[in-house]
Amino acid sequence: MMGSLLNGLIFTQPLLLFALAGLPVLWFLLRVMPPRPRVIVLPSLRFLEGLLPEKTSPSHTPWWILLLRLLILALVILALSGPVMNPSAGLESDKPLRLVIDNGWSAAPVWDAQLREADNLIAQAERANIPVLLLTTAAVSAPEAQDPPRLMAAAEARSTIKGIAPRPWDTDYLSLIPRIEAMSDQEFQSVWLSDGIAHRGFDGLAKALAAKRSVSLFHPAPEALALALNIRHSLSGVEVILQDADESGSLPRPVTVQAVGEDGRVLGFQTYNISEDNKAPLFFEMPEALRGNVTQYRLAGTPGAGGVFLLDESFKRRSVGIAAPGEKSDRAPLVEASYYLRRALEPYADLAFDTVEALTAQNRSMIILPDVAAMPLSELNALESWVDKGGLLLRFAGPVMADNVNNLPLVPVPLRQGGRALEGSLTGGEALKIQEFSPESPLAGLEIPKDIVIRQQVLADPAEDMTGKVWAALEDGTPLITAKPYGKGLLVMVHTSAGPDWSDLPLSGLFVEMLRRLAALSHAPTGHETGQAAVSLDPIMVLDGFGVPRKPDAGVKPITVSEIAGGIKTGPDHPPGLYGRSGLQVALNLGTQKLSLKILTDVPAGVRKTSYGQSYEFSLMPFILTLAAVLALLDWLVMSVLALTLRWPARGRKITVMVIGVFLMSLSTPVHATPEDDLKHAGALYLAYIKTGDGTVDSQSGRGLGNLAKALSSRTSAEPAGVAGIDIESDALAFFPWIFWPVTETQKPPSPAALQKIQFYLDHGGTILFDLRYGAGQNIAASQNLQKITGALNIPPLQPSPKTMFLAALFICWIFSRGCIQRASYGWKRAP
Amino acid sequence: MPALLDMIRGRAERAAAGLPGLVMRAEKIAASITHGEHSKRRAGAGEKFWQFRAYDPSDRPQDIDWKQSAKTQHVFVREKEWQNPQKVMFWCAGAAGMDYSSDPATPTKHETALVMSLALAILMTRAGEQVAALGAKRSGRSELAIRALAEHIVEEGEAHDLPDPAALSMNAGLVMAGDFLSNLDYIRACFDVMDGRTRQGIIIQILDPAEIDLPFEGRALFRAPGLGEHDPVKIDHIGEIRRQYQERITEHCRALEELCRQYGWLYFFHRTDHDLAELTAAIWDSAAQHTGKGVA
Repeated sequence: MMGSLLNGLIFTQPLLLFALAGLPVLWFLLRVMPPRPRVIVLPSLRFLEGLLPEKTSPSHTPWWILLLRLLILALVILALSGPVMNPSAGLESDKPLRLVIDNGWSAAPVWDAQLREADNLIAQAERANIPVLLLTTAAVSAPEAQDPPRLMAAAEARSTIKGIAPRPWDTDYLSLIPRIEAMSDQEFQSVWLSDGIAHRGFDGLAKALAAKRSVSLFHPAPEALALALNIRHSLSGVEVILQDADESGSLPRPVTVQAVGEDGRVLGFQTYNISEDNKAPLFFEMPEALRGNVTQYRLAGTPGAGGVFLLDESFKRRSVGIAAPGEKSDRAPLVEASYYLRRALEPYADLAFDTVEALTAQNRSMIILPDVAAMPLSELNALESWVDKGGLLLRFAGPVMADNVNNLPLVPVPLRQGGRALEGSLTGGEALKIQEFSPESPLAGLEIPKDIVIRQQVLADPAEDMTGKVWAALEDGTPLITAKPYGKGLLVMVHTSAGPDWSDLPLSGLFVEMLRRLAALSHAPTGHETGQAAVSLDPIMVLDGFGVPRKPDAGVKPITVSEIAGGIKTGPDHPPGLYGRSGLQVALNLGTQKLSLKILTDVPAGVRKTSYGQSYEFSLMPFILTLAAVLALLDWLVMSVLALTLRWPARGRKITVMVIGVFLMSLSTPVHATPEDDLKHAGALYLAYIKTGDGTVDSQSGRGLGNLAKALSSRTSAEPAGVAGIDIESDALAFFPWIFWPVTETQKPPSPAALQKIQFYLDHGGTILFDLRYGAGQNIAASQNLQKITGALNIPPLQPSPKTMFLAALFICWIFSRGCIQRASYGWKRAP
Repeated sequence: MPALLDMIRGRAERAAAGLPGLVMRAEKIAASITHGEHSKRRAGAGEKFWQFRAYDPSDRPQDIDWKQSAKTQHVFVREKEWQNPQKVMFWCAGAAGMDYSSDPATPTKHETALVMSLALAILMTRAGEQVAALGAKRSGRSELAIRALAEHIVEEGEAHDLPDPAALSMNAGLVMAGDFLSNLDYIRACFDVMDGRTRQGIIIQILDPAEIDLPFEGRALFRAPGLGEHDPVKIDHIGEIRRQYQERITEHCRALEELCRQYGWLYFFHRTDHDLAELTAAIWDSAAQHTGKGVA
C-alpha cells in the first residue's frame, strides 16, 4: 500500500487522497446549490414583507474564506493520508526482515542510534506486514544459546527490542556464523546494525549474511567508536592506557578520564588528545592523598563497560611490612627505628611487623628493612624473588649495616665500609643538610625543613655509576637516598638510620611524606599468594553494558584469582566487575584484556554500508495538521473581525472572543524554570518569591523584591542579581537563600511533593518569609491558609522576631520598598 | 370550516386543561403584589375599616360603633374607606399568532396574556371590583368570577387580532392583552369605537423576543402561523434585513403607544422572556394611580 508520488515522499494511506477530488465538487455544491432554506414561523411576518437587503456587506461568504476552508479541509485529508518524507530505501514485502544487532560492550556508545534505526526498520516491516527475525551478536550464556531465533511479528519485535541492551562483554561473531548458516534455506533481507568495530569473525559473518540476499550494514561515525580504558600504577604515576579501535589514528579525538571516588564523586579528571603521532604514555596526575580514595577510573562521555576501570585492592592502601620485632622490644620506644616507621606509615598503609619470610609470604607491596645487614639464605632468597616479582624493598642504614657492607645483597649501590660521621670531634665538620630534590627524583617537590640535619650516614661507593640512582643527596653531594630497579621491583636505600640517632629526619614531616611517596610507588606484585590462587571469588558487583554498576544476577559464576590473573575473557559467565570474598577483592576489567578493536573499514561484496541517522523516516502528518489548525485559527480570527464590523449577533461574537481567548491563553501557558534558569539562579544571588497565581500579588511581590534588591545593593554588601518568581510545585528552591511567600486566601495548599521540597529546603538552612499581607490577625482567611500550608511542615513553632534581628531589619527594608503596609507586624523567626 | 373549528376547540381544551395551573400562577403573581393600593385612602362607601371618628349630629345613628363608644365616654362613628367598585372587562387576543413561542423555555404569547389578565383580574377582585371577560354576560368579584373569566377567554376566545368593540359594556374598564401586530389603521378604527364606551383602557402588548430581535441567520422561508392569509416570505440573508425589520417593528410599537396616549389609555409592553410578575405589579401600580387620579 505504498504509492510514491514525489521523490522521497510516500503516503501510507494513499487511498484517502481521492477525497481531495471531492473538494471541487464540494465547492461547486456550496456555490451553485445552496441548501434549502429553513422554514421559520413568525407571527410578525407582515413586517418582513418587502424588505430589501442592505448593500453594506457581501451577499455570500467571501470566496477567499471559502478557499481558506477548502484548503484546511485539503490539508486535513493530506495529513490523514499519512505522508512520510524520506522513507528508507524500503523493505521488500515478500521476505522476512533479519535484523542483526551488535550488542557487545562496544555498542554502548552507539546504542541510541542502533535503537532508533531498529525502530525505524520495524515500523517499515510493520507497514509492509513482514515478520522480523532478531539476532544479537554478543556472546550468550549456554541456556540462552539453546533458544533458536525465531520469526516474530513486527509489533512483538518492537517490544522484544526494548528488552535488549548492550552486554558488558565482547561481541562474538564466530558463534553466530553457524546459526546463520543453519538458516540458509530461507530467504531474508538482512540489516546489520553494527557498532563500527570489525570484531573477530566479521568477514565470516558478513559473508554468511550475504550468502543469499543483500545486506545493509549500518555503522556509526568514528567519533562514536568504543574505547577501552586500562589503568596501571607505575613508578611514574597513574598510567592511562587506551585501547582504541581507531588504530589508523586518522581521527584525533579528545578523551576525558575521570577518577571517581567511592561515593560516586568525581575526584579529578584529565583530558587527553589521542592521535597517531602521540604514542607517549599518558599519565593521570592527581594528588597522592586523593589517589587512595579512587575506586574507579572511567571515560567521560563514552558509555560502555570498557570505559570503566575498577580498582581492586591491589590499587588501594599499600600493605607495608617492616622486618622488625615491632613493639615488643626491650629498648626504649623513642630510640627504636620501628617506632618512627610505624608512626609515619600507620595512617596511609596496612602495617605488619614480622620476619622477612613471613612478610614475603604475605606478599606485601613494600618491605622495610631498618638496619639489617645479614640474613639467613632462605630469607634472602624469598626476599629476592619477592623483589624480582615487583616488590619495593626499602632499606635504612644503621650501625649494624655500617659495619657489614661487604657484598651486601639487595642494595641499589655498593656501600663503603663504615659509617661517615659528619659531626664529630675528629671530623671537624658539621652536620649536613639535605639538598633540594632533583626534578627527576620521585621525591621531587617535597619541602625540606631547614632545621633537618644528617649527622651520620653510610656512604655509597663513589666508584659506582650513580646516574639515575640518586633520589636525594646531601649538601656536599653525597647520596642520601639511592634506588635501583631490580627485576620488576625496586630497591631503595636510605643512607641514614630510621631512628633519630643518626639524623633528625625521622623527627620531621619530611620523613612521613617521603615514606608515603615511596609506599605509593610500590604496587602489589603480580604473583599472588600461594594458596589464594585457587580460591573462588563470588561476584560482588558487576558492570552492565553501559558501564553502570549493578548487582550480579544468578547467571554470574564465581571466578578464581588465577583465572583473573591469567586474563580470563569476560563473558556471560564472568561479566566485568568486582569479585571477592572477605579480605580479598579482585577486579575483572575489560580494559586489561587484549581486545581486538579494529575499525570497520572494508566490507565484503554484497554488503551495503550506510551510516546511522541518514535515512530516518519523517512523518509529515503532525506538521500538516498543525498548519491546518493554524489556518483554522486564522479563519476564526477573520470571521471574528468580520463579525465585529458587521455587528453579527452577540452570541457568535462571544464564542469568537472565547476562542481567541483560549488561543491566547494557550500561547501564554505558565512558564516553568528551565535548566538554564536553574543554572542562572545557582550562579548568583536571586531574591525569590512564590508565585501565588494572583497577578496583582505576584507583580507586587516582583516589584517589591526588585526594589529590595536595589536597596540591598546600595546599602549592604549583598548584591542580588535579580528577582525570581518561582512555582512551588515545579521549580527548585535550593538556589535561593531566602524566599518570600505572600499568602493569599485563594492559594491552593502545596502538593505533598512540594511540601517535601519545602521541608527539605527548610531543613537545609532555607528561610521562608511568609507574608500575610495585612498584618497578623487582620487577614483571617490568609492566616488559615498559612496554617494549612505550614501545618504539614515539620517546623518549630513560629515566634515573633526581635526588632534587632536581621529579619526585622530586612522587613523594614521591605516595607519601605513596598510602601504599602499600614501597620506592620514583624516577620517571624523560627523558635530555637 | 369544521376543521378550523376543531382546531380551535382542541387548542382551547388543551389550554383549559392547564387552566388551574395558569390560575395558580396568576394568583401567585397577584399575591406577590401588595394589594390595597387601589383604595382611595379616604373615608367613604367601602367595606374596609378606615377610622373611628367622633359622632356628629349629621351622622346616621346606625353608623355609630357601639362597641367602641362603650369603651369611652364619647360616641364614635366607624368610618369605612371610600371605594368605588367598577366593572373591568378583560380581553386576550386569540389569533393563531398569539400561540407562538420561539423558545420552548419561554411561554407563548397567549399564555402570557392569559396569566397577566388573570393576575390583574385577581388583584382587581380583591380591590372590590367586578371582573368579566369581554363578551361574557356574567360579571362578579368572587373566585367564581375569576374562573368564569379564565374559561371564557380560553374557550370562547375568538381567533381575532382585535376585540369586538360592541361587546364592551358602557363605562366599564377594559384590559386588553395581545400582540397588536395588525395594521395600525384597523387598530385605530377599533379603538375609536371603544373609546366612547370605556372609562379606562389598559393595552398590554405582548411580543416574543424572536419577533423583536429576529435572531436568525442565513436563508430562511418565513411563514405566518395558522392557516395564514399571508404568503410565505423568503429571505436570503436575514442578517442584512435584521436592522430594517427591527426598526419597523419598533416603529409599530411606538405608534401603538402614541395611539394609546391619544385616548388616555395606559400602554404596556412585555417580552415573553421577561419577568411577568414585575410588569403585572407595574401595571397594577400605575392603573391604581391612574384611576385614583382620574376620580379625584
